[in-house]
Amino acid sequence: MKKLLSIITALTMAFALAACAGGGGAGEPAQSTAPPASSTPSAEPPAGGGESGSAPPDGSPLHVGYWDDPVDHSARRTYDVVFYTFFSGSFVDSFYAALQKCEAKMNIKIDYITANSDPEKFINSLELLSNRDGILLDHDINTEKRTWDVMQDLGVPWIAFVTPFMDGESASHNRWPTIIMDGKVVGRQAVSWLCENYQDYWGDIDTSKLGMINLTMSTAGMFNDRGAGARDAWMEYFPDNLYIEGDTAGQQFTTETAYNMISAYVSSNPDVEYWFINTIMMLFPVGCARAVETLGIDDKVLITCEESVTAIEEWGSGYRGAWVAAVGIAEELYAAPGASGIVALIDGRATPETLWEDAKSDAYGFDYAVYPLETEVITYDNYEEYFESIDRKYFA
Amino acid sequence: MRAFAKSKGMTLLLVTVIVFVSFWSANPNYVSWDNLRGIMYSMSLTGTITCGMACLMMSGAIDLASGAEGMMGGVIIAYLLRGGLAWPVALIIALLCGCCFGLINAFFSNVLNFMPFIATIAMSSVYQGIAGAVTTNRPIMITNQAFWALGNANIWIFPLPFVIMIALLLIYGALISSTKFGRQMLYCGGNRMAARLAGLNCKKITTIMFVNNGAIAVLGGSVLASRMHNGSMSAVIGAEMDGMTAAIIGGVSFLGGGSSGMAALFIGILMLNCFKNGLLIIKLDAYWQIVANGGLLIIALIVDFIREKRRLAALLRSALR
Amino acid sequence: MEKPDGLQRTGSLRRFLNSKAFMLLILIAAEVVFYSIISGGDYLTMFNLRNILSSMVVTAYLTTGAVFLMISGNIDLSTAQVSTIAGVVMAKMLLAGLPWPLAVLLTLAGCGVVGLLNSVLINELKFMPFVATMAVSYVVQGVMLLMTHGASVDVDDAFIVWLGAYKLFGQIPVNVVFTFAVFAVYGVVLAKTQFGKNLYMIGGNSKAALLGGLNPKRMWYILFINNALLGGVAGMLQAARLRAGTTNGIANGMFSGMTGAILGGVSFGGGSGGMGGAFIGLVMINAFNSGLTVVGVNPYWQTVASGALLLVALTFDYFNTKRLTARK
Repeated sequence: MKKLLSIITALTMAFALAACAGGGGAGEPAQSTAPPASSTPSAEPPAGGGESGSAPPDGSPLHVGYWDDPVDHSARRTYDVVFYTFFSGSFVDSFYAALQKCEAKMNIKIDYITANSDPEKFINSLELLSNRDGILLDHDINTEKRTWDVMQDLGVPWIAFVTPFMDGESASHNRWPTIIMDGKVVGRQAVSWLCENYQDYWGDIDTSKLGMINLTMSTAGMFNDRGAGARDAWMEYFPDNLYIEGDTAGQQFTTETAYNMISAYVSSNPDVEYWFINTIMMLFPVGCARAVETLGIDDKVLITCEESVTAIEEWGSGYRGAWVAAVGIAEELYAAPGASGIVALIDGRATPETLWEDAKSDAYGFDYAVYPLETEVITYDNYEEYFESIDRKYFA
Repeated sequence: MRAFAKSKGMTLLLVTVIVFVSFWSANPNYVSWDNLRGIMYSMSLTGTITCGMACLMMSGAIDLASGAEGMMGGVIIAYLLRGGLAWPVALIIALLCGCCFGLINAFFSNVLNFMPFIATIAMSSVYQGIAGAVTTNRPIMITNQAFWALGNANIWIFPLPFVIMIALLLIYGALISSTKFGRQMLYCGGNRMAARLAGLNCKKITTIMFVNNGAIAVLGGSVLASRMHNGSMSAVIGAEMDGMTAAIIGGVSFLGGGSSGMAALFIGILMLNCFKNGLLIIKLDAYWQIVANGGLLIIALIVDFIREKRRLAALLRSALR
Repeated sequence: MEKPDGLQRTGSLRRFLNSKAFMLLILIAAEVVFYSIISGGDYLTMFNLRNILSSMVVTAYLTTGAVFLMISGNIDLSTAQVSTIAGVVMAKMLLAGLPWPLAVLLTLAGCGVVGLLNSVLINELKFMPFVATMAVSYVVQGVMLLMTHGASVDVDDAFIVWLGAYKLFGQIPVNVVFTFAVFAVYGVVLAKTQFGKNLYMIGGNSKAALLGGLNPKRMWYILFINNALLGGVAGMLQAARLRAGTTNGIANGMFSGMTGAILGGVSFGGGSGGMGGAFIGLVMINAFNSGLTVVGVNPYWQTVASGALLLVALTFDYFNTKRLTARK
């Protein structure tokens, strides 16, 4: 009896706490009382050299929302920003690391919350973020509609990261400021580079003996775009050559999947002497590299990847084989404008409609900014220099 | 030999032959030596892990964390090699870790009387989370070239991982059908209560098999890490499901299996891998491949059903005569 | 309370206190207190409580079906894929212009067919349940991907979207209330009706049940179809809540329903356990996971913690059982 009473008391206390805590943990007001964005040009000249990727082109007066925003960030309280993502993994971890580097200059504190690829959790937990100052949102394209509804109701300043929110009807009209990594552009870039630079590795070969294997994943929107871009590029350069699309849908994202596919495709097409292999995620090229080594054709294959995380590890350990290239994505290129953009929105100096005026483009409907990511194909010769130069540019 | 002809292994062999011949006629490169070696490689991981799993199942328990344990094995050995240890030492330490994984499972299952099903699912999450936190989802490179031989060397014309798998299957098959321990194992799996009444210490036996399963899983994961030159937190996960399916179709279950069970296991995995490889080669649409994999299982079950019916009909006829 | 002749009464209150369910309740109370302290008030908010209940919805259906099947001694690994395809099929039908009652009914009919397929394979062809349902799960997944080519299908129908989003009094989602009602009905069926009692007997010993005049085969037909229907409802509800039929479907795949059932006391041998325990088990898991998100734990440690939670729950259960049996 005593035991029962004590348990009931504990539970009652717990629920009494709940009743007191009340409707949703409202925190400090999200907007500071700074004046709204002024559209008069700032007094200082634009950042020199046009080198910095996050400054507007020379001659433009607006720096609001960019890394070199002339406003004094330390004159206000520290903003509480959350980087909220659908996916998890090293791709996102690197972004978070880069965002953390921005905390000092922008006077913000960034938390990282991920839904670990669980759409239910993603939508449900969004509502918990209503007491934050700002959100950098990386969502899943499959649940875009519901995410949009929730974000509109939430009332917190936010910026979309990596994946844009497209207008329902036309599906080509971006409807919120986004920092974008366009998968198609990246995929195309990777394969075009191979098509233009293969002679550096092979000299002039008989291109009729060249084939391509494209490892894609059709059920994951982000990765699928990369595969599509890669395919488009190949079709432009070598439309008559053998093209194999290795769709990994239904299989795991591991090195073994890639190994098995490459082994099967190459052994069953012995009349192809030279291969390009495009891979959309970081573990596949490892399996491809091992497979071509085992098959003994390491010097007749060129492998590229749209992510560079594992490439750096592999090259750093001394590997110099078929895996020659990857698309370098320096996370600072996302993080810097993301951090400065969200600060501008929270301050009220920019609205979603006016943020990053010069990043608006026709391709996305021209109403809201789509800040394009700079990516560059890196090889084992130049990757160190590339990342160091980006780091110097932003954080030196 | 007669026993095998009647066993489920024979069913699988029939289906495998049909599969093999069909793909051969579709594309002669299917039987190119490169491709056959590719099939052997793809079998080796699942086969190794399932060997340990099958032994465990025959003794009455199950370990759904086998894939995660293999993954941990790969990650652990990658870290040890990066730390500069000689590879035999690193391998032994990793195998000892595998034994510890098995002991943990045995503790939950025998001392705390958890259901192995749920305890090992829980441990699988734990291992994956730990590996993720430690590696932050980046693969750990292995640059020790001597170690690469484990996954890439050849015994005569066969890949070493494949030979390891065959060796394990033969050894354990012999162990189960020819030794007293093997028989005791099967009793514990078949009818635990009766085995205990007969004086067997089933808890000790399953503990040994858990430890064995952990070590074999780690071995499989290490061989894979050697093949791929890295230890990754997403490797090996899920390998146990394919293997378990092959094992169950092949007649290995909680009710026994013996050495014909091991042969059936081998053929089952051979069947699955030949099939998957063939689908890739004929460039079947990825979605149809998924349907086909399910269809293959159903066909194997149907062939088995038909053979059972005919055998039962024959038995009935002879009984009624 | 001891009677003079030494027998100990086991009143229903005492049974409850000694049961698995009660022990899980203690764990829940512990979780709540722990998280409230750590998160400094973020945990015990209406938002979060709603969040916890919401996250239970889909798993509740899977668990219900699993409980019924497992008590009767069977298993079904295809439910997760059936849920996924149900969400997708319903979305497609709505997109094609069908009125929602028709879309829902047709989807349920389709799920029923899959359930029938499972039960035919297992009852008539005597396939092993593990393998047969796994094979069916591959086939269903493949068909679903063929239909969608991997892309998710948006849901725009007004009623369905309302079902997924509307909150009674602005606080309690309609779909949560609906789910709990369904769960309660099934709980009553299991505990109080003859059908429910028969399930336990079939699970305990199906041959004896047969001799006792029950028809296990017929019940398994019903149960597999029922399981598929429940899975279909789960999938459709998820599509309503996400406003899209997604092709990735239920996170945690095949085993989430079974895990919930086992925590509630159901075992594979069949013949034991119940819905009350399963419900509390679900609350425990989801309350815990929600706390991890609120506190902002590193996602990898979240995975570890979820696994550890199961082990902790099972350990409690072990000590509880030991204490009970030692008293005798």
